[in-house]
Amino acid sequence: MLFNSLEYFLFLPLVFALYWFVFYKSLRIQNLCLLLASYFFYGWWSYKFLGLLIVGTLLNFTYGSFVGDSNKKRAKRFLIAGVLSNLLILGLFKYYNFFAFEFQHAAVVLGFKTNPVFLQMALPIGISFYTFHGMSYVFDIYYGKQKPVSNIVDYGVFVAFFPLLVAGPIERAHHLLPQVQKPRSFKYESAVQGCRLILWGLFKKVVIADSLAPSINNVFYTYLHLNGVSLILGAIAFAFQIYGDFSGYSDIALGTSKLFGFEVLSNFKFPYFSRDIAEFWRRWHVSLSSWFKDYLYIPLGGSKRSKAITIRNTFIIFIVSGFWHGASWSFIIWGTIHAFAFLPLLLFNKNRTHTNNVVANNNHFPSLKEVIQMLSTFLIVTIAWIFFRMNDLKQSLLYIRQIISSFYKQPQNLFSYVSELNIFYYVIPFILIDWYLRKDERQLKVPANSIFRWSMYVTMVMMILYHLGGNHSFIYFQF
Amino acid sequence: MKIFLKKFALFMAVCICLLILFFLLINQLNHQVLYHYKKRMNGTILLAGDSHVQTALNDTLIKSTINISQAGEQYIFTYFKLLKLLDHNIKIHSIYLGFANHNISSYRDHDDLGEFDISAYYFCILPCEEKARFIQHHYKMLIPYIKEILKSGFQNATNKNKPPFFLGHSLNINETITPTKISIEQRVLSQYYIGNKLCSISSSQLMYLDKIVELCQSKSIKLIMLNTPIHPSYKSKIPIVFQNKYQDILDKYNLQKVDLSNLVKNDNLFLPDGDHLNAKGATVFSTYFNDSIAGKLSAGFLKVN
Repeated sequence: MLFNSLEYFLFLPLVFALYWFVFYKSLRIQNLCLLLASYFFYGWWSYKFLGLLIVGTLLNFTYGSFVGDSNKKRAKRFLIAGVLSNLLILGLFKYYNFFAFEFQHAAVVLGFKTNPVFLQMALPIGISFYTFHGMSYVFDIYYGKQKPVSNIVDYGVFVAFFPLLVAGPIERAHHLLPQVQKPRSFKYESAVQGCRLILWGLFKKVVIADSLAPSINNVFYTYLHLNGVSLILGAIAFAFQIYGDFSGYSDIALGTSKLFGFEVLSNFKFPYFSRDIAEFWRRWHVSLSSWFKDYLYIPLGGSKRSKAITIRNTFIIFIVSGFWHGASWSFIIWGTIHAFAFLPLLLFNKNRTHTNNVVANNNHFPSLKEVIQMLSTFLIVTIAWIFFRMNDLKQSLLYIRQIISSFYKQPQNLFSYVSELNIFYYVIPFILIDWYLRKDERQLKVPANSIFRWSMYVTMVMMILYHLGGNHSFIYFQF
Repeated sequence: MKIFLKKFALFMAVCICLLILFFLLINQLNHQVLYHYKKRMNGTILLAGDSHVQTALNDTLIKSTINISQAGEQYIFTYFKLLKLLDHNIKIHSIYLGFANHNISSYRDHDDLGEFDISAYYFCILPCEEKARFIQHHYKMLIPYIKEILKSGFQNATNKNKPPFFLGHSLNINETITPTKISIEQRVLSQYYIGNKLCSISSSQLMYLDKIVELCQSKSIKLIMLNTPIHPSYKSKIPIVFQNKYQDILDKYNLQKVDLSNLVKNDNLFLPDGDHLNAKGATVFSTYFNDSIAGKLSAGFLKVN
């Protein structure tokens, strides 16, 4: 079930009504209602893979109770077993074919003939997200941040809570589970804010990202026949498409969670206003980068040891983060580009320069220095997006070569036949709105005048309805 | 909670009311366009049908005729279009209704209420009960369908350069690529076969053909079935069952037919599919048709080379 589908807009009010009006007296039944609704939501896409989700839930619930053992040695053994089990599930469904293919390829290079078995099945939607939820649970118990839960339904809701199930934000056990276990009350302000987030998220997805998609597809499919300017515009447009698509999804998830009385982690904090790559990763897909920081970077030693270890750890988390997105070399290269962009900041101890405040925090406009910083960060990010979008290393390099070669081979044709200029109709208003909202991603600023505010909402609804259609899936569903 | 629900309901009501208002406005504008079109109609013969009639007959070359055919138009839409046009219009005395054998093939029956985007263009001229049936039929894609209706309704009402889609018009296609054996074979396969299996006769197409006949009879308008020229190679491949069914329909209603399917033999006058004429072919054929209905030609076909 997609957030931008009619089914979801029938499903959501129904679950809302059951949750607040029918089952409101008992927390247990409310949670059971959420769990069943979440399984229905997932089963709508594929009831076959629902079994996998349930198996994963039972597995981590069991491991969790063992990891909570007071004997640290035994707990560690169960932690390792729990993490390996999750990685095995993820590896089998998501990475097996990649490794089998690479193994076959390497064998051919070495002069052997192999015939590995390839799995012929679709990637279970959201597998990367819910397995990370499961791992977060066993990690949090091991580190003493969370106690093992005794109620499987509560744990099931944490893993499968439908707004977060297929594309995050990736929640932490110690953050979401206590909310699942405590009685929740309806808060008017929070629900209104939730509706605003849902509306803004839908707008970003349907009006901006989906409208950019045809031009971008055209550029990336026919890049060998296009000039440099078209290719640059295509890459810029993709940067905004993926941002609109994924942050739109995250906003809908955040908003829906608020309607049910949950506060989940933010995923996006206006990443394209970042002044360096370090800041970008504190603003882009925050729940994933902080997950890797907490459960991989810090256990590996983080930045507390030597510079060499810090650099090694940084490269590990960026490469793993790339690989998390998909079993392809282009995702690994995407992560590596970010790691290399991060390296100078690390070497000169500048990676924590912009940790607290947003750009131009007390001003309307950024300074020239900030503009240059933001543009250079955006440039690096956009180059990396080419590898992400192409999903093929050779094609990505050809795309970049085509941009460079068109500048010196046919400079007279640089601006001819640029049909992608229409992307600015969507991108420029998007940047301006984001700039206006940039101080808080969770509290959308709206006009104080109620007539003006309602007119704005209605206009947004009409624009969404106008652009709706074609059942465009969310880009991050594939991960 | 009460305040939240109240405000939410109010907001939804505002949105729905606005949508309904917009919908009614579009509907009204489309009816106005239709009303003005009817007032301006000065022909006495209508040329109706799908792309075959649309591309073959240039009504500017044929006296007293108005071409109201439209590409992809199934008989269901021709029927509702005629229902609107013949309402209080006593000037029309004859209708030439295009008939190609594949019109009664079930190859498009997977969507018997017309293809998604095409049906949206006709939506505004449908009677209320039909509107409800169409919406119900497309309930799985309800929002995109409503969006398409509003979008196409808006285009119908505001495009001043050509008649609205639901009214149709003659269309000249300047194409120099001529039919080949393969292109014709592909066309026949797509229109009469699903996989390797011969398509059945479409009951929905027949039903609305019946309704058109009844409508014309009730208005005392002469209905003539018209077969536009098709390539000889295409014609030889039409399954016999469809040819027989056509004869049955003619016999059932005692309909007059003008079979000009053999008229054109020159490859250069056809589009690559072999069942449509190109702009040059349309000029030749329209001139012939004009002379024919004006009684300038004796019986028998004019050989065009």
